[in-house]
Amino acid sequence: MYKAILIDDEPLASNMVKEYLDEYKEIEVVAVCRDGFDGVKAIQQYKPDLLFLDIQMPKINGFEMLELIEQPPAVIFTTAFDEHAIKAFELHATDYLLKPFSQERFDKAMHRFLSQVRPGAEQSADGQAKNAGQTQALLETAALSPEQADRIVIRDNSNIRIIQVPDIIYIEAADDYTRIVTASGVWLKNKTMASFEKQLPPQTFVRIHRSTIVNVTHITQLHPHDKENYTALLKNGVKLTVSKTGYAKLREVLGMR
Amino acid sequence: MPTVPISNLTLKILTGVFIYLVFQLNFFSVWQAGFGWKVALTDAGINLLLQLLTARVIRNIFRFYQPKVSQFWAVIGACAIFAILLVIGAKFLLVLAVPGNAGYAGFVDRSTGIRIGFSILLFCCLVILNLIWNMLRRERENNDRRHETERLSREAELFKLRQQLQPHFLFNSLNSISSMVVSEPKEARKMIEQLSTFLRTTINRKDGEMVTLSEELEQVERYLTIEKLRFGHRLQTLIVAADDCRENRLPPLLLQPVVENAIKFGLYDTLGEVLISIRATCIDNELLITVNNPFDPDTSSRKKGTGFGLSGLQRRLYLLFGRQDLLDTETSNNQFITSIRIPQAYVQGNTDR
Repeated sequence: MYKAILIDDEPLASNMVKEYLDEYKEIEVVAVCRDGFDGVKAIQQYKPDLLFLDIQMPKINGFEMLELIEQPPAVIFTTAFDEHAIKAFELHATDYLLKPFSQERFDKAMHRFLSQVRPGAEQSADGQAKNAGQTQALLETAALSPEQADRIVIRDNSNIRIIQVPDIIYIEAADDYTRIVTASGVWLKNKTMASFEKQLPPQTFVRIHRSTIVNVTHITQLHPHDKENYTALLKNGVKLTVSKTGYAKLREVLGMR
Repeated sequence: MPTVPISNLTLKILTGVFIYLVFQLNFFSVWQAGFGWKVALTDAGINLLLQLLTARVIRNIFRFYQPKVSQFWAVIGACAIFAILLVIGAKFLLVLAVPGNAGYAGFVDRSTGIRIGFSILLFCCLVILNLIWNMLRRERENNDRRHETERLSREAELFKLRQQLQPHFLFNSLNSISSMVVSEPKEARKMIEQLSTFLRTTINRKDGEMVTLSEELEQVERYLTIEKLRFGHRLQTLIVAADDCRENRLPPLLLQPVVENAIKFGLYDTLGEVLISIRATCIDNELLITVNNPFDPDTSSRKKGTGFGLSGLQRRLYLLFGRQDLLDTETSNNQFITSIRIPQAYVQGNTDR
């Protein structure tokens, strides 16, 4: 038995997926959600094996919701997104269904999912790892889309928060997480420094150190620290270490020649 | 298509050939007069240099200066005067270049008239060639510009078409219909009818023709009916129009993008139930339409500014009425309010066109 959750802001769209799923006795629909917020809660509660996920939804879109999930399950996107936009994600998702879709097309997607999770077809643990990798790559691609580029969605306990990119003062690595520092608080996000570096606008956000990305508009002073490193003083009084290569990047962005 | 029947290269070759012919004529005339080839070559050579120099000067002048038709004779006159001055200058140079030859000096003196004649002829031809040259260049630039404009307008046309058809709305509606076909076939049929009428009206409306408020509101209502089916109870709508305004006129599909915007920000920026209200009143010969939608100031206001994607509408109103003050947006209590004013006097005057 596999557990599935449907997340779509249009009830009729969920109804159709449910109807198509009737033929699959091994799939149990444990929850139907209308937005990403409910989605996150339901996923935590039920730990499903499969998600049917719409992309355009209230407040946070499907990709942003997935970012908030620790170990995302297999995902089948259901969307009316135009085709070339979704093409970029094709490789990474279990499948994507363009609305409106037929039962035949739906069956194909289910076949893909089942062949991934069914024991014997592939090592289950392997399948899981592959899934996680796929989803990670997918989310990194999605974060670059114009809709998402200027905000970051984070979860603190049961609250979901949307941070506007200009509000970020700096970001630093913290074990497996990254710590996002803003004027209104400090938040943790499960996302790599490298993918932040890719997403954030390079003319404002500079990776000044292996473990720090800073919003250059917050820097007030820069002075040598030791032979190798520099120190950046921020408006809020925080001092950050700037590596040699980080200093070179800073100089370029700030136009100091 | 060029209206000047020769190319740039032809013009260049023509200029070269022309100058060479004059040089040859110059050389043989002096030679025939019995001054030996050295003197003939010096004479023709100095003239050639001066001519090339002049050709260059003319080229540079006319690169930036395009005389008007009325100035044509003035240009030819100036050219002639310049030719005369140059020949007089050349005369001194020639006598200096062939020193101690009284016979030659006399010959130069005697041939001044004919030299001036040739000089004028040559320069006038150079000027005319240059003018043609410039015409060619301008024509090419105009062509490029026209192609560019055509390309842009084609793109705008396509963009408009895509906007009208709103693929996202269309495909989601089709998906909803698809979902209803089995469970609620009667509703599905109704929705297909609504969608078809909506699309037909959208496609058939022309930019120039004004429509009545009733017609426009009917169209908006069709759109909202479909959206309500899609989003279920989340979406509530309210349309209020004063009876005496219903025959007021407005440009077609003007309201549509505003309502779409309201839906987009109302539904995608907030959770829970959303009320979109549209109110129409008419005061002082103006039709006033306001559209209200809730929004979340934290997530949307800063990102999208106050524009809310309405700059296209602002532009359209400006093109239609020549006024920048007809579109107004304000926010209060997490409500986004868009107001559009349509001056009726102007519209009435225009409907007869």
